[in-house]
Amino acid sequence: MRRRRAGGRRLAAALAAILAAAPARAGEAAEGGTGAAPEEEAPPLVAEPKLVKFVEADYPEEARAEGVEGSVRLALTVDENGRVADVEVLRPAGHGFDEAAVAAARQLRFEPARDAEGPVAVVIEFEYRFSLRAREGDEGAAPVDLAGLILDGTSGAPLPGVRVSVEGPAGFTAETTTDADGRWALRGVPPGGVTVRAALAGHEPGTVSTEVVEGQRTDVTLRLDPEGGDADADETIVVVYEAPETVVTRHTISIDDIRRVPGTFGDPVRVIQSLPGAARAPFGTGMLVIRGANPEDSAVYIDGVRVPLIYHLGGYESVINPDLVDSVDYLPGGYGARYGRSTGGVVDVRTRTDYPDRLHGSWSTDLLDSGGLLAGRVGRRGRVGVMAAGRRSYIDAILPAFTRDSGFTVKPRWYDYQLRVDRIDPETGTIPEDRDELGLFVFGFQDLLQASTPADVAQGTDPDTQGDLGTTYSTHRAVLHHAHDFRSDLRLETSLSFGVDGSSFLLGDTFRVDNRTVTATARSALIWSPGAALEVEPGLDFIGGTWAFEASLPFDPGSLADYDPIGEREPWSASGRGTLWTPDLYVEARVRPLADRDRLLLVPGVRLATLVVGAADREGPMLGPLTDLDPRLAVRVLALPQGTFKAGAGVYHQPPMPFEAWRPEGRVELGQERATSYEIGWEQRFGPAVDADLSLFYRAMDDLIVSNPDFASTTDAFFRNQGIGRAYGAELILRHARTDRFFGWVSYTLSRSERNDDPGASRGLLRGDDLSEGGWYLFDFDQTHILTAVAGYSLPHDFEVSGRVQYVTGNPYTPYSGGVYDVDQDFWFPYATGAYNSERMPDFFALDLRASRLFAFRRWQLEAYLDLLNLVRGTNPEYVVYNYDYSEQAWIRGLPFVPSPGFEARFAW
Amino acid sequence: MSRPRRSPRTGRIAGLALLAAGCGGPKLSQSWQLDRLRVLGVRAVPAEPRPGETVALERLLYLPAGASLGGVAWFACLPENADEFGCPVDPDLQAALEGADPESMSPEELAALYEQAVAAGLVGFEPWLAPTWTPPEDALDGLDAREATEGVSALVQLVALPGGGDDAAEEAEPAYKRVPVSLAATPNHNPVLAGFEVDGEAVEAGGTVAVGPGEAVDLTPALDDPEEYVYLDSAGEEETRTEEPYLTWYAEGGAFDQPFSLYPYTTATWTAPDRAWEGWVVAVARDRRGGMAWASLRVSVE
Repeated sequence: MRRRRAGGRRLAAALAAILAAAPARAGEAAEGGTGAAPEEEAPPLVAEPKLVKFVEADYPEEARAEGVEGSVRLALTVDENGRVADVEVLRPAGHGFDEAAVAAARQLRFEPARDAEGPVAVVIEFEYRFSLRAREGDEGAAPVDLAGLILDGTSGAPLPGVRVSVEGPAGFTAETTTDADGRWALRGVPPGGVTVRAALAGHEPGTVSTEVVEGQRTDVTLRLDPEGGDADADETIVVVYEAPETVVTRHTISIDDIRRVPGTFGDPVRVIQSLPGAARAPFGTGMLVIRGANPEDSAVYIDGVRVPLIYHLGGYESVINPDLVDSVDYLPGGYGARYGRSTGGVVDVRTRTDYPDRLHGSWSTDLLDSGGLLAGRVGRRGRVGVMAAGRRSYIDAILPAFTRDSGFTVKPRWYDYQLRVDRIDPETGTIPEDRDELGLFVFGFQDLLQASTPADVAQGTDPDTQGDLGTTYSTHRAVLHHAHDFRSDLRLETSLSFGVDGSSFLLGDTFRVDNRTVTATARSALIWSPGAALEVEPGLDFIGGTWAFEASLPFDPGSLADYDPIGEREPWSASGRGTLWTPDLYVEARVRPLADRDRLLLVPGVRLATLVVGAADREGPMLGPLTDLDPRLAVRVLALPQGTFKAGAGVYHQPPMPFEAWRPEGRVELGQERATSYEIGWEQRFGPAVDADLSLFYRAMDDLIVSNPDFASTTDAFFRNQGIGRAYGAELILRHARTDRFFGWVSYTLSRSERNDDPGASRGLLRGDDLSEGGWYLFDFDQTHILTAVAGYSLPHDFEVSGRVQYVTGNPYTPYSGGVYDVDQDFWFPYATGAYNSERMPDFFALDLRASRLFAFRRWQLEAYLDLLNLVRGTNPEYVVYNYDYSEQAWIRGLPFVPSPGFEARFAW
Repeated sequence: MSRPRRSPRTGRIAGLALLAAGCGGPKLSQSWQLDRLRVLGVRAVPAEPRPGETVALERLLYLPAGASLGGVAWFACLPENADEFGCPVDPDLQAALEGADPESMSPEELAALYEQAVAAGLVGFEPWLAPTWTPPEDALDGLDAREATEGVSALVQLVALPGGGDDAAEEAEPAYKRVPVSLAATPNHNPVLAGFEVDGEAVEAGGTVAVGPGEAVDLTPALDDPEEYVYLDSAGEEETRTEEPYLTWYAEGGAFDQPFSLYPYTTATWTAPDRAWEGWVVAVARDRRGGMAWASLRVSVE
């Protein structure tokens, strides 16, 4: 379930898919010759009428018998109360269609149009389409907004004839009845929070609240217990994969589905690696490599707040409790101006805002860690929703037991916590539609790795690096969110956050680097929706704060360019502190210029990407001010009833990394890295459950920050903006949305990503490796083919099985064979036998399976599962290693076959 | 050619991945295993010459029993003529040297080849020409007094060729070493490694010791006290420092848990083969200023 801002609701979007409705003001209708125009020129409207209750027209038996289809165009007079006061047939269709359309139209209910003085009556044009195919196959004119399945709570059998009523925002109501398969569906449901009630004689009624997101289909499964049995409804809320329209490509993932994907350890965020455009990260790294971008070039957000990491140590699990995750937006490219400071992809993890009326809890345990979540309501009449979650690994408590005898200890440890408090509507348990949104979200995590050795054992031949090895990084954030509707067409959303990021690396007594950043952020967007054809969003995306670091090294890094015998080393230390400011501004518009609002969408936008870095020990900025303009445009055209053409182009700037933005004295003459991205694609539906999405992309990168080849001392510039790069490819996903038993997708990416650190050079900057012609070399994680197939199937008695198959081209690497022995340093300098990254590791193949069973009790549920990872025992190389003198080569291989059990319990009090 | 911006993280997480994988990794030959021609150590005597002062170049090679040494070619160059692999050798000259058979060459041919090689920096070609090198008198010209005291690091390059066979060149062992040339008041001296203590019992370098099958023995090098020297820091201040030598260990059999030891914890533990065996254990000491020493121990497993 994903929340959307109320300002994003546009009734036309829901209507047009079914009826090609074209709201028209009275005067415009007169120009169209309807004859229903008011006599005087009407004052301008501030709000179009919005449909809040749709009534489907009965298909005339006469027409059905004859196999006739048709459409009837009507002129509706919508009065000040939103009722249809008059109906006129503008374009009749005969065969009983006209009468059916008029009868249905008289039952429609609208939120009335408004001018500056209040509600007014208007005339709009409205069209009913009658399609036999659409009715028989649930296809054709309109996607379903809200659908569901009603099952018997005891047997799991579908329940036909269940009366389903839906209450939505602004008084929207609709009713329907389940078919012989226990299914029901509704179109025209406006976006926002809805409550679904199901009633059937002999069963306890069931209720669930969920959210309808514009342009997406929401599926709800309800289990009705027989009277006298368990009264709790087991609700499953699913946001189905869909590509909404404000970015070129967005993959919003079904939480319910992806938690059943084997190999994800039940973590929704990990499923990104099974989607198009995402390269497979080497095992244990959790790196995000999206469309050939460096891992650090992709941005990660939690509820719109940027965080430095998304995975805990080793990449096994994300830094947020899986039970708190509501959806994961994966934007591989082509995203709009509201996102910035990254040239790669974007991952935005959204947290839940649905609070149950009774205290709910969950607890999960697996091989790595355990964690739990509590959610409920407090305050008078339960107007405040509270959700708290936490998790801690315990591998640090286990590992020492295996290493005690040798004296070596390795302690990886992580924890995370989240606390969310929202003002809610006690009726629905979600964010209120009629009041200001107000919420507080506090979260954080810390990862630590410590490796200790006995004091009298050398860890290397360098006396300066003897001792413990430790690395720590942490992030803490407090986010205050507020949204206010000034008018029905004007909304202000604001998020203020305060946070601390820290990292520390320690090696022995003399090698230490500590970083600490304190940031305050402000994201504010003013959303103005003057009509169905236009929405404008100017916004501020501000990050400001302080940075500080301390570094102690046993040697002068400037001496690395020359031979530096340890006996002549001098300890080197540096520290700095200062400020950073990035007051980015953006404006984005969503324009629907055609009468059929869904036919064409233009999303132009521009972002001002800024950066100023100051240092306390010098006057004036150390870096910047940098100001770059990022124009972006996305286009979506509903070219076929079920097919959408999409295209986008944009410029993306990314500021230097913190360590690139510093030097001991003077200014840092660096600019922002730049990527220019192009994308075209096609989305096609093949029915209510199957869709496909094909994208072609090209990204040109320049001003990439690379090492200064002339670096000889710390007074020289460390880096330069002289690198270039390019990434291009095609992505395809064919997906079957979850039905009552099956879900799955096949994802394929064909791509190539290259870099050139010194255009025209024949040798690399750092190691002097040979480069191919022109200086181009393959990106370290370039993977030509990435094929992933995922499928899950529900079996009787609450068993479920799922599987994942992955085939990925091996990563490139530089071949070495033999070397020359540096006698002084006892080190071999290898001979490269090919250009940099000119060879590839063997391809990766893995089959993962997962089996789970749900045990339902009166007050709680238990899901036990077993992940079988790498079932076919693919011996997949992850890294290439050499022996001491590079005369032998071998592979570090990934996971062997691993059975990974776990369970999750859910409670309700 | 990795951009340094991504190297730290990649390296860190690669290490974590190995940790995560929890497996021992692939089986590769270990640096302490002596099973083929190897260059183990090289030193100049004296260790830190002045310009114009001739040094003898010595090397420690390992040659398996029954194998022969085809020769060792030595080159020397000042740092301005060096590259990252040592002293660059003209490929034609290298081919000519490797293909040369002094026994069948005329004195004129030998002289011509010698002149060509010397011009390219040849300073020795064992066993026919003992390696010595005299740093040019002008090696430190252009340096100020402080810089001349610190000196420059000349490079000595050697290529050890196995004897016989067409594959000799491919199996050649190249190595290089820096020789500091300076006017230092306290020039470096090579350390002295006189022998070992084997489980506390003194054994001279080259001596023999008997151990039991599978027995783990502590080997402590009989190393002279580390040398004190005057170091000029970057501010020009004198600082008295003490060397912190480390030892690299090799063996023809058995196993080292750790193939190096670090002053003052210089003892290494070697585990003998679990069967009857006889072979060499070798230690090479480096003083981290360019000085080296080595010693061997004959071990009999009975």
